[in-house]
Amino acid sequence: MSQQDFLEIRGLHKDFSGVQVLKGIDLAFHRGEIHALLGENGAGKSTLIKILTGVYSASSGEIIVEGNAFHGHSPKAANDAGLGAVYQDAELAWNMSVAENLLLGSERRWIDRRAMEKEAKAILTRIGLDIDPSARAGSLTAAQMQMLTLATLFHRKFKLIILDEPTARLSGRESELLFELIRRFKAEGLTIVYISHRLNEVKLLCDRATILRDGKVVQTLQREEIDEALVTRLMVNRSASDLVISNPGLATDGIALDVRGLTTSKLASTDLYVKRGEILGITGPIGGGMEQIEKALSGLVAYQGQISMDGRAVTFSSPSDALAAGIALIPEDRRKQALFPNLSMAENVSLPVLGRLLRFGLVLKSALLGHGREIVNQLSVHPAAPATKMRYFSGGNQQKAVIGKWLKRQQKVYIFSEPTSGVDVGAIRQIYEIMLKMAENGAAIILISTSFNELLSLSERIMVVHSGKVAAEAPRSAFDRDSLLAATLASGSA
Amino acid sequence: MTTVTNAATPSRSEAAGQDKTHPFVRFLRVWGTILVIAAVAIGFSIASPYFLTVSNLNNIIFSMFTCALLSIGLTYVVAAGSFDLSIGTTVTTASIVCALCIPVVGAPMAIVIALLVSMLIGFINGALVTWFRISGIVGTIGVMFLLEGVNQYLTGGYQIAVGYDETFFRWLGQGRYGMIAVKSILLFVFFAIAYVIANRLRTGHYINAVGDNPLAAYYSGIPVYRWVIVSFVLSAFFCGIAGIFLAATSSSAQPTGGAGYLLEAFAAVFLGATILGKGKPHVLGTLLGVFFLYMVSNGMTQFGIDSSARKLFNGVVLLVAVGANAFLNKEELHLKFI
Repeated sequence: MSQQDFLEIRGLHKDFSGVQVLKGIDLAFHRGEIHALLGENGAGKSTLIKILTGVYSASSGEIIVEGNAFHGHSPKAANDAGLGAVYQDAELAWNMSVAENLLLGSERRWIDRRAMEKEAKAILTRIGLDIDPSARAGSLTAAQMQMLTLATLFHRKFKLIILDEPTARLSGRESELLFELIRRFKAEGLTIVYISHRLNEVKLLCDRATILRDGKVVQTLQREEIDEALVTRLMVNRSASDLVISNPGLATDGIALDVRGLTTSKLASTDLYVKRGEILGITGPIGGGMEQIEKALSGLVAYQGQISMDGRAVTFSSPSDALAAGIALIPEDRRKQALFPNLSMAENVSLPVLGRLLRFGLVLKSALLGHGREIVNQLSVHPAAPATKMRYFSGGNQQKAVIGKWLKRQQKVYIFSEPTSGVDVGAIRQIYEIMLKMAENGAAIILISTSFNELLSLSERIMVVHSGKVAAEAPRSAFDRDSLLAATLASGSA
Repeated sequence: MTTVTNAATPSRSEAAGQDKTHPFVRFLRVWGTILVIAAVAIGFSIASPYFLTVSNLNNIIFSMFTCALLSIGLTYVVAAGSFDLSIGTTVTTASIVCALCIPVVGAPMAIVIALLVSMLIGFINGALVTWFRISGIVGTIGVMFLLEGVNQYLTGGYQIAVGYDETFFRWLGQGRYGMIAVKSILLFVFFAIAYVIANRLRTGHYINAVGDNPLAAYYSGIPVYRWVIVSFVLSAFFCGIAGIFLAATSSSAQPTGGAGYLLEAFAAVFLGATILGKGKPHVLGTLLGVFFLYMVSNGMTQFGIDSSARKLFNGVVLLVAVGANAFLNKEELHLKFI
């Protein structure tokens, strides 16, 4: 173990009842470095994190923290060793104040609210966060919650902090603030393990990056070696050019969805339309109004304005109205909003079309499974096991199931919200192909995404929404990565 | 749509991702509870020649009738993700309403009225936990107290007798074909209806979906409140049937006739959830759960085992079965204490 290493992993193995998930990991994290951990879903990242944070214990191998062997059997042991993690859904007590969250576990014997808020304010100021310590944690934005969670770990004197996709819900500007905070932690000598699917972030932020594949370390790259093509090849073991895809122009003349003067509490009057076969990309900072379009069009939020589909006026007051009119939403947070974890794959994809699978008014298991198998084959779901419970599938395959739910309903408009967030690289291309195929078959698609790559690959037209207004709208050809970024960031200064 | 080319090399853990447990553990998870039931049944049969006779089986099924219907009804509510603590008193109310109505409108109409009243109670329960935003536990405890008051008021604290001339009504509860009671046969009819509703009609599928992830159900355009209410109405409907048969069996309605069944029903539903390793309530499991509780009670009575020992045994079995199942199904973190 060299001087600069804070934590060293030697020959770490983990198996679950005989199935090897980690097959001998050797890895070291330096003091005061930001170290990216990259790999497809199922490569072993989450298992490794869970061992480091004491949720699982290793089958064999050693973990050495500051020269001492770490036997992580519980999250408490990991805490005591100074290891902690921030997960995608920041774990905060929503009904408690910022100060109470920050000082949780280190309160004085006599609780004095004002003193706590003062102490919290001092900590927040020290790390450069401007959050009101008396605010209810649940009232914070996603970005503030992430940063508060980080502050909490900082306050508890953690020495190694693992960040799992911290920017998944953040806009470009919010991410910048987060990066600033992470760099400040680094300067304080903390070790940051950074997990993200977004390679440009990794390049921007991290000192080194380790790529995992199939439970093993493939390679650790220095910052200057980090290169999208190389990393992708190391992650999926095939060339990155496989990931390049583009929309050949599938729009037809008929307008499927026409929206005039769509207004919500957070969105100024907006007009938009989508043609049959067209993919309309919408982007912008999170909270800037694009999610309002998604919510209004899927019946989740009250709106004013006129929506017509195929020329017929429709009004939505619930998701079932929107679905009946022909709009299906594939929501971003699929685990919470779209999937039934304990029902089988077949049951999941059958629910919206259950009425059609009836035989003599009865739901027969064979009909369910048959339908499930059809969808599974059509979308290359892996494993092709329609009777398996949903929670055993990986992120990418779960996303396919969400799409599969609506395939046979033949909706006119599909709204995809961040369709590839938390989806491994291999499955991303498949999902893109599915979306293009749907457009080719005449579906109008609204793609709401913060991934410029995705927007530029799939869209025929792109709208940028910020500060509750449409800031730019043009054919795809008018945009490139830089101009999209500029249009999105321009919002913040407005 | 054509098949999309499978560009990704499937990663290993994905391929193996379905079930990483040892085959023996998986076997126990599915068959463990049934093995215990079978072992106890075999034990009783060896110890007593009388235990495994048609007449004794009929006795067990006859005695479990009320509890079985309550438990089956409760299964829907638990599957929808809520609780119904008013089932016991709903049974009482149904039997009282039925007994009171018979002299006025005749037995068939009285049965219909009792069922309608029960379903109204279920509807109120459902409305409370959905539109009125009251938790299932609190809302149905409230209704339970309300009904206790109503039952007391309707009966004035005394039993209500059903006339001896009501032959059809009494046949329902007391009729026999040889060694087999009409009620025992009808239990299987009611079970079959419940099974079809749960497994072969859309109702059951939507209730399961709502119970598994209500938010996803809402996003999927499923009318979530409707199915929660339906689950409560179904629960109350089966309570209604149980109440009617309670009155038919004893030719009377008691002011507190059904109250004792509530906790047994909960035990049966959660014991039943472990059967066949489903990990969630299902009507077949529930029926077997009830059968087990009553079989043990029957067997132990034959051997003159004290009722305190019987209760002890039931408690141990419930805790061991549910506990072992939770252990075998170990999730990463257990942080739900409802």
